[in-house]
Amino acid sequence: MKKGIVLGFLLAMALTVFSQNLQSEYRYLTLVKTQQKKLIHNNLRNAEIVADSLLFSNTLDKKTASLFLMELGNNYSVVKKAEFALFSFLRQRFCFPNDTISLFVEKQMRFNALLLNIDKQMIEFIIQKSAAYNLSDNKEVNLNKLIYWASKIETKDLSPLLLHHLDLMNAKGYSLIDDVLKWEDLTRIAFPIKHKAFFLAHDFDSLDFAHQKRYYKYQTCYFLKNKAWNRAKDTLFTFRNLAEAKKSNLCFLKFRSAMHF
Amino acid sequence: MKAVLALFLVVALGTTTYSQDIDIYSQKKNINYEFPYLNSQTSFEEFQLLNRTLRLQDMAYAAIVPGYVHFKVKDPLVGWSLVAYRAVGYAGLTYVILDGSYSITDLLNGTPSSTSNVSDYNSQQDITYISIAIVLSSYMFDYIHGRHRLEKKQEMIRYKYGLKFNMSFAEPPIKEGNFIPTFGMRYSF
Repeated sequence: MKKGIVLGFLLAMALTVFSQNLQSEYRYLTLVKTQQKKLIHNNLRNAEIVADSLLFSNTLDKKTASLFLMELGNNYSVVKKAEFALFSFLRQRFCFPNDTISLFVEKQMRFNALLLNIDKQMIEFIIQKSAAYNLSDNKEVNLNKLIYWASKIETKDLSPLLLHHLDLMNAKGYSLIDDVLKWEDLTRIAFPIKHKAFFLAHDFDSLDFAHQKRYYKYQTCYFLKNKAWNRAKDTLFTFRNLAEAKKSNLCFLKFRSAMHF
Repeated sequence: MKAVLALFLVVALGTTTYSQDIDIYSQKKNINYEFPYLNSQTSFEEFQLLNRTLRLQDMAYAAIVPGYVHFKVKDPLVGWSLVAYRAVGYAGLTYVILDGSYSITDLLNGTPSSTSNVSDYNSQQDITYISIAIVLSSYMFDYIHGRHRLEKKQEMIRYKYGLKFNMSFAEPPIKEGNFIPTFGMRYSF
């Protein structure tokens, strides 16, 4: 009985400390928002650490978590990082839905989408898909949806943050949906963003030779860069068989691999 | 008696000047043995910046190593720019010395010899003055601006973690009354 009381007390203390920490982070975000931009830049790293811990913890203080992510998005907006702002708002909507905050967030999302040249229809679609009534009770499903829809607004700067979230999901043992896995595969090999949408929309086997060649090129370069010689060789053999069947030249990959083998 | 007085003076001088530390004021604590309170989010770079102070010995180092203070305050871009800037100054002085037509002291004193070409002398004098100005200005900028940058960075870090620490004891700002009451229906299948 005594042990139970002590454990309960410790748990309550831990939850209080975490909650206080989150509230102080939220207060600090609201405080620096109207001050020098240097202060905001200086705090973004810390805010991301808190955001990471929020998304993967079972926090009871969902209201503060929701406010914190909204305020983080506002801070990103002030320092003109529209893609990060949008991602923060999406994190709020997918992980800590709150009707009152959503009213404000939707306006901010439209404004930031404007800055990123995202289609009006696309952002409206994302807003609709991230509405509370479209979400599941399962955190794993919501996080998958978050990454999936965030990949639609992807930029070069945002990709590392999305991959970081995927790493955290993998570490937690969450399973990823096929679309997210496909996007992860393309992003890890540094596939250009402008061609990514086409690859995601089509099945790889149904693509023509030119597109497959582009994919193999980036994949081989990725393996060579990371010194995964055996994987690079395997990819090259697969591609060589394909190229011989199509009677195509392999000059680029031969040159690139000659630098290493 | 004289020997005792001399010994006393030596000891007194040693204790007041802190001969191991070339500075006017002494560093009375050994930071190598100090384990400060750190916020759990503090990065190593922030910790390093908080730990660093500029002392007279740094002033002496900055005279020898160009951009020393900026490298110390983790501003490598300005540091390398100062290296390049001072290299230009040293290059000018090297040119004058290697040329050997006039000694640096002659050029600084402004006393050309009777056989020297006046225009050549003037151009070499200009190069000498400009080079010395570049070297001195790079040194002054490095120390003064570097000190300013360090103070700014340290203020920012102290402000951030100091406020967060104090805020964690404040009253929670979020109340139920701040929210609009909402009603919704949900249907899943």
